[in-house]
Amino acid sequence: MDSSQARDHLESVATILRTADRSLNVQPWIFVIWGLFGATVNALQQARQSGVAVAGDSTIQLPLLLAAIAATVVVSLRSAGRETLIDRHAGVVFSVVFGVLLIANFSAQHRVVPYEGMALFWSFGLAMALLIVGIEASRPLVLGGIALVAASVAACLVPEWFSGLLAAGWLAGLVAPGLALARRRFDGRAAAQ
Amino acid sequence: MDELLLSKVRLAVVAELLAAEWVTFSDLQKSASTTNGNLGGHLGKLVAADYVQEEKRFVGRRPQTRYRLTGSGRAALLRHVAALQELVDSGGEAS
Repeated sequence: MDSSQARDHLESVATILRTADRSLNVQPWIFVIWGLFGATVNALQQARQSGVAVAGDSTIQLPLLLAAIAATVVVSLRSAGRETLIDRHAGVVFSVVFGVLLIANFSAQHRVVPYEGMALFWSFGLAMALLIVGIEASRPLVLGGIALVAASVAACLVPEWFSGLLAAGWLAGLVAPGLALARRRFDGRAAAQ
Repeated sequence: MDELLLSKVRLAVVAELLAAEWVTFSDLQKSASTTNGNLGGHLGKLVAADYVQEEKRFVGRRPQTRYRLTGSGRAALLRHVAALQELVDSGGEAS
């Protein structure tokens, strides 16, 4: 190999790295599933606060949680083959945030943190995850994170609609970006065919 | 200089994998602009040298093969690029 060939090889490596894929290929339905889960839990709480007769937390939340986990496993098995470094990063961020919040939920709620405090931990925590991943790779997730922060702040300002506003935040923060990403993926597939 | 990475297709594959976590065979074929058989041969050599890890799986009912760079593949690429740069800087010739 001479120096001109070496230069040619170096340029091809540089071109590949320069145009590296920074797209987000995480299954968008995961956002929809967990957005619906959070919205349902908060909507039920709002119904309870508004005097509607709804079953207690434990009878509804546990089956919903198990259903959301099962649905996540099912859609994860249908994930895209391509997995970028951004996807890996997104997986780490969401797993850490979700895991820590889940531990906080089981250890703190009803003992040292009231329901409202824990609900805010969840919405602000997931908003942070959406913003971190979104700023790197996805505008819908940024908008979702902003919507979830805005809904959480609004919930603090209007206590009588606290859970209802959080439910709206989960819909706008996770379900809407999930649907936007799913549609983008569907359009991409249709264009490729 | 790494003998295995003197091939431009293999070098492109390894560089593509450096910038991603997992890449499917079909995506690699698109970026390498080569035939199935040719790419399969190159990937076979990279897998045999433990530069690349291969995973065969089913997505729904469709089989899918995807690849990722191993630690030794990453180290080999970095060494090779350094050697290429050295060659360019010296303006000489390497075997």
